[in-house]
Formats: sequence, structure tokens, C-alpha cells
Amino acid sequence: MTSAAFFLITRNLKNRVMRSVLRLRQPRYIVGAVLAGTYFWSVIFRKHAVTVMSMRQGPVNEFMMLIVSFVALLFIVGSWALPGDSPGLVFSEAEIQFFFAGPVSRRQLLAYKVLRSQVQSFFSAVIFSVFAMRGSHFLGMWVALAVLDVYTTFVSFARARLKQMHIGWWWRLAAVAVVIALIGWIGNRQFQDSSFNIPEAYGTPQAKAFMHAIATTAAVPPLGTILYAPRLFGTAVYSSAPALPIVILLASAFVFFFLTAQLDIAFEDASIVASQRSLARRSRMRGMRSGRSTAAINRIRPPFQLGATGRPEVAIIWKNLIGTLRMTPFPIIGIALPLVLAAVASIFGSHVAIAGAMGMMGLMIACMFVFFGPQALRGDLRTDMLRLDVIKTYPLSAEALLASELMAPLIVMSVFEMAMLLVSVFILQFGGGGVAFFTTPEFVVSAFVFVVPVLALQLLIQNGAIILFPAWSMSTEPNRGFSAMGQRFLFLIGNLLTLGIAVVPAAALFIPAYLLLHHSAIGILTATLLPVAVLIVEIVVAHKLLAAQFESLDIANDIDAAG
Amino acid sequence: MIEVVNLTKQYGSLVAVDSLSFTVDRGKILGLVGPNGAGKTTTLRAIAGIHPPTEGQVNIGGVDLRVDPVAAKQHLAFMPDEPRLFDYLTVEEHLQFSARLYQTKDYRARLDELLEEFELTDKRKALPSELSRGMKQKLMIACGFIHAPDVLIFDEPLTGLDPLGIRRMKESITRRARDGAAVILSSHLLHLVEETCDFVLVIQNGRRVAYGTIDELKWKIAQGHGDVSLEEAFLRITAAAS
Repeated sequence: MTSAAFFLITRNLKNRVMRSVLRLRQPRYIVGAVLAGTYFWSVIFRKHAVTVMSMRQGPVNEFMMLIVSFVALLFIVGSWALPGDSPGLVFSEAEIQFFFAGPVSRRQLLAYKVLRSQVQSFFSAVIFSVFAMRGSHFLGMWVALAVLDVYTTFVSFARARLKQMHIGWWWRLAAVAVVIALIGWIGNRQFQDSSFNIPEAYGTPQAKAFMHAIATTAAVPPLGTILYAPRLFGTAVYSSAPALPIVILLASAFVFFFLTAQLDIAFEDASIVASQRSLARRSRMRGMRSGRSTAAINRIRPPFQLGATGRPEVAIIWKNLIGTLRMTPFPIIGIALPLVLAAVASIFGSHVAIAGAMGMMGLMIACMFVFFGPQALRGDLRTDMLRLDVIKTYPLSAEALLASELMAPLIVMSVFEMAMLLVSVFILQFGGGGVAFFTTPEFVVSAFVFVVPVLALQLLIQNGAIILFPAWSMSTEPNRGFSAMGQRFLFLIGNLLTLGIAVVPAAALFIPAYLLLHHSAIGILTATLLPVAVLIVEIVVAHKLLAAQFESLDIANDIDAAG
Repeated sequence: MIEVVNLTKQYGSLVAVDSLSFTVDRGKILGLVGPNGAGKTTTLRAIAGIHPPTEGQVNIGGVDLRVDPVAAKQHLAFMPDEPRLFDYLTVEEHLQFSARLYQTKDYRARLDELLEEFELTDKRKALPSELSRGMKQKLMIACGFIHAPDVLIFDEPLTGLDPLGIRRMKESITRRARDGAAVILSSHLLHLVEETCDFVLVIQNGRRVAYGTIDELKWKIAQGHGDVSLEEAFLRITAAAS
């Protein structure tokens, strides 16, 4: 079994790498890879400089070590408080098919799972050490993640054993609460009793002193003793001499593996359930293409009753609105955000500065949403691309289909923009004279009239990108890896570049028109309508071109698994 | 009716479908069979207007698919081998959505009939994630039937169905053909083809290797020496063509 598992892991890895390399023959992948490579090099070189610098920054590393130690402590203690009491190790469908039905013992399955997760830990360690946690050691990070993986597996088995002993979740929760309270009390006393003082100012030297003060105080017993095991993770990741903690951590991983195997808990049924859940979640994520939304589908009623007759495009809008309402958390966020702003402003309405800040914050959110909204709300062709073989059979022209696909997110985002604008302007009424222009009706109308075509343009660019490069978004495999990262960069750059080019003629008209006409409300509105007209013309032309491209789109040419 | 003339589909240097021509009249069922990778799905997708053909012409209900794709698609329903449903629409909402797309005025009664026919009545408020593979397949097909299309294209319609479901699906397909629909059915289940189809088109490497009624194919293979099954005929035809 060990050789079979090793064969499977190494071949899997080798085939994935080979496939990625072979894909580089296609321009889209080589461009993505070059871009990602450039970014990687720039980050690594920067990291090298930062690492050299951080070696001199003792207090910073010391403090980061402490942070990692606390995170590890949280894992070590907190994993006992999780509600699950059946060890659902996640396997792929193929692994379940071959291993569960094959002559493989539980211990061997467990060993395979631990071995396989090292590949994932390896890549996570690369990401963490290169991008997220500068100045950290890659090897220490890898070992720390690997040990935490073995440990959490052990705890999930131990929770199952405790359940067999009639010690359920509430008992475990209570025990963890007591332990955390005790550690908190000890820590609090230690910081109270020592000569620890928080520096009042937070300039750079004071911040370093602050970090050093915390780190040295936490190292003193009894808190230092409690933190001994978690500190091994911190020193493995950040210390300049990580060898000893790495060796101790590796030894502890073997101990935890041995203990897990000794527990001999039946995990097959729970694993099948966990694997199915994981598969369903990944399918949903792939379907949504958001890469983030894992929310379950809720049962919100359709926004309106769909009649049997009328324009068929309405059916697509209806469907996509339902999708947005049921599959994303946006309805809650979209309603809550303006309400929270309004509520906070009404509480502190008498404070001019707070009202002004809240109102400006609302305007900033509305402004940023123009750029981030179309990337977050993807209930359009980007979601439907995976069902293209059904959608292309609909009795709709490509133009009608494309327009109706974009309409639902545009409606939702426009409503949100309008709500944010109105709430922000309402709050700004109390914000003093410095923001008077933002409270005028001409500003609200102009901003809204301008924002809607920009949103439409953004949606068109993003949907256009998948029409022009369908394989980038329609791969039948999870789109990850080096070249995929570069592709995302390229999409982002392409999006910004296209938007920038599209906005240039509109801006070229707006600036002189505004300078000439800004003395009256009618003048400002006129100055806004000119660029809006330009944007609308651009949208119409781009829409027609993309629809023609969509008509002739042949996904089988582009999808990885075209065969 | 369906009329396919010199249909060719090429991917780079690979010719997936090569000058395929055939006709399916109203009330007839054509079985499309061939070994894996023969080009069956590509053919069906080209006829359904999903993949634009490289060359050739496809007429659906007398409308040239290339000239007026919207009018042509109004006549047809394509049921893919993998049910592609919207995760967030319920069973009933899928049918409502399809009805509106095809402007089906009197869909309410038909919706209930279809739910009954495909044993989905008690699942009308269920989401696709709450359905089995077979139920999803049934829902996909019910969506295709809601506008009573003249042309039906099935790609492996029995995948995932239980024995009763298979029997009902066969009855359902033949009933639609009796009512005047032109049907193309692609399947590896040769007994299904034998039981339901009037004609069979065998393709291999994208080319037509045999075409005719089931009896004609059997007779051609047996050449007057006894009787052969469709399976035997299929194996001999594809072996001879390779």
C-alpha cells in the first residue's frame, strides 16, 4: 500500500506539472505563466531584501514569533471545541473507490491521507512564506503546517473516542472555555504584575519597543511555560535557529500519528459524507466562479412572478436575479450596509465630524463598488458559461442573450449604488459646509447617471473576456497553479486597461464641459450627459461585436477537455 | 423535420464530423450510434446550434439553422447527456423558466402533466442539489418537453434512470414521435435503439458507415444467412469500417 500511495501521490503531482508545462504551448497559458513568473520574481527579490532587513529587526521577528505561537495555541486548544465528533477525512471520489474497497487497512489509509496532505502543506508554505509572512522560513512553515494537519486529525479522532465515552460537545466546549479562561487569567496577571508598559505613542521606535515588551513579558513563566509547545511553531517559522524546533515538531507529528492510529476509530462513513460535501462545495464554487461563495442556497422567493408570455429575455433576467438572491450574501450586505451607515449616523448625528466621515465613507464605498461590484456579482454569462451547451439552444439571438445576461447584476448593483448615494448624501447633510457639493441634487443625479453605464461597461468587459477567452474561465479542471495566477493578473490588467481606454473619450468630453458649465445645476447635468452618451455608444458597439463573437463561439475548440 | 446536408465539423486538423447527411421526418426516430469518440455528441450539438458547423447545412422544421437560428431553435429541444441545471432554481421554476423562454402560453396544465409523467410532483419545490442523478435527467427532459417541440434531440437519455424510469422514458419518447415530433436519439444502449428507433445511423470517425432501418442493417450484415442482433450488426459494421 505504501508504494501504491507513494506512486499515486508522485504520479499525480508529476502529471499535473507535466500537464501545466504542456499547456504552455497555448499562448494564453504561456502569457499567464510569464506574467506570474515576473510577479513571483519581483516578490521574491523584494522578500529577499525584506528578509535581510527583518533579520536586523529583532523585535518584529520576536513579536511575529509570539503571534504564530498564539495562533498555534488557538489551534491546539480550540480544535477540541469543534462540534464535529466523527472524523470525516476528505478523500476524492477515486480514492474512496479504490482504497475503501481495496485491501487497505485504516492505518494505511490514515498514512496515505497524512502523506498526501504534505503536498498541499508544501504549496501553502510556499504561498505563506513568499507572499503573506515575510521573513519566515519556508521549511519551518512547511513543518508547522504539516504538524498542525496531523494534530487536527488526531484531535478529530480523539473527539470521536470521547463521544464513545459519552463525553459530548458541551463537555468539551466547557473544558476548552475553562482552559482558555485560565490561560487568559494567567496572561492578564503576568502583564499586570510585570513592569510592562504600553508606550503611548506609536511611531516606529515606540512600536518596536511595544513589540519587544509584549514578547519578553510573554516569555516569562508561567505564561512562558504554557506557551512552550506553541512557541515551537513560532520559532520554527521565525527564529534564526529553527533546526531544533523543527526536529521536535517532526517528532511530535510521529507521536500524534501513532496515537491517531492507536485510537482505531471507524472513519469510512463520515469520510464519504465529508468527501461528498467537499465535492458539492467545490462544484458550487466552480459554478459560481466566485472562488469565495460557499454559502448554502437559501429559499428567497423570486423577485417577481414570471408570466408565460412576453419577451423571453425577461426569463434570463428573472433566473439571474434569483441566482443572485439565493446564491450570494449580497442581498443581506446590500441592505445592511446603507442601513448600518444610516443608523450610526443617526446615533452620532449631532457630531458634525462623525456625520461627515460616515457620509464620505458611504460615498467611498459607492465609488469602490463600481470597480469591485462587477467582480463580486457574477450572476451572468460568467456563471452560465458552464451550461453553454444548454444556453446556446435557447431561442434567443446572441445579442438578446448577452444583454439579458448582463441585466440582472446591473439592476442589483444600480439599486445598491442608488441606495448608497442617497444614504451618504442624507448623512452628509449633517456633515458641515465642507462637503456641500456632495449634498446637491445635481451631484446625486449626475453620479448615478454616470455610474450605471460604467457598471454596464465593467460587466461587458468581464463577460466579454470569457467570450473572447472561454478556456480561461471554462476549464473542466480547477483553474489553479502558476499560469492560472498569471491569467488572473492578466484579466485584472486587461479589465483596467480596457476600462481606462473606454473612459478616456468620455473624460476628454467631460472635463472641458464641466469647466465650462459647472456654474449651474443644469450645466453640471449637461456636462455629465455628454460622457454618458459616449459610454453608451461604446457599450452598444462593444455589445454588438461581442454578440457576433458569442454567436460563433465554439467552446469545444477551447475547453481543456474538448475531446 | 430534421435535414442535415454535408455536415462537417473540424477542430484544427481533426475532422470530428465528415460530410454527414441524413433526414429525419416527422413522427420518426433516428438512432445515432457509434463507438466512443465517433462524433455522435459533436453531431448532435451542431444540429442543436451549439457548435457552428464548419461546413454543411442543418434545417430544423424547414428553417435553416444558420440563416435564422432563433426560429430554428424555437422548434427544437436538446437534452444533453449530462443534466445541466441551475443550482438555485427549483424544479417548478426550471419549468416556468423554460416555458417563458419558448413563449408557452398554456404551460400551467402541461407543467403539472410533466411533473406527473416524470414522477417529480412531490419534488416541485426541490432544488437540483436535492435530486438524484436520474431525477435531474428527468427534469432536464421535462424542461425540453414543456414547449411541445417538433424536434427532439436526446444524447444518452437513459443515463441514471431506474428500470421504471427507463420504461417510462422510452414510452415518452415514442409517444412524442407518434404525436409528430422528429427525434434523434444517441445511445450506446443498442436494445433501446432497437426498441424505439425507426432508422439507425452508424458513424465512425465522424463518417457515416451505415444508415437504414434496423431490419435493413441486420439483413445487410447477415446477407441472407440467418438472423443477427443489432449488437452483432453494429460490431461487424464498426469492425469493417475501422
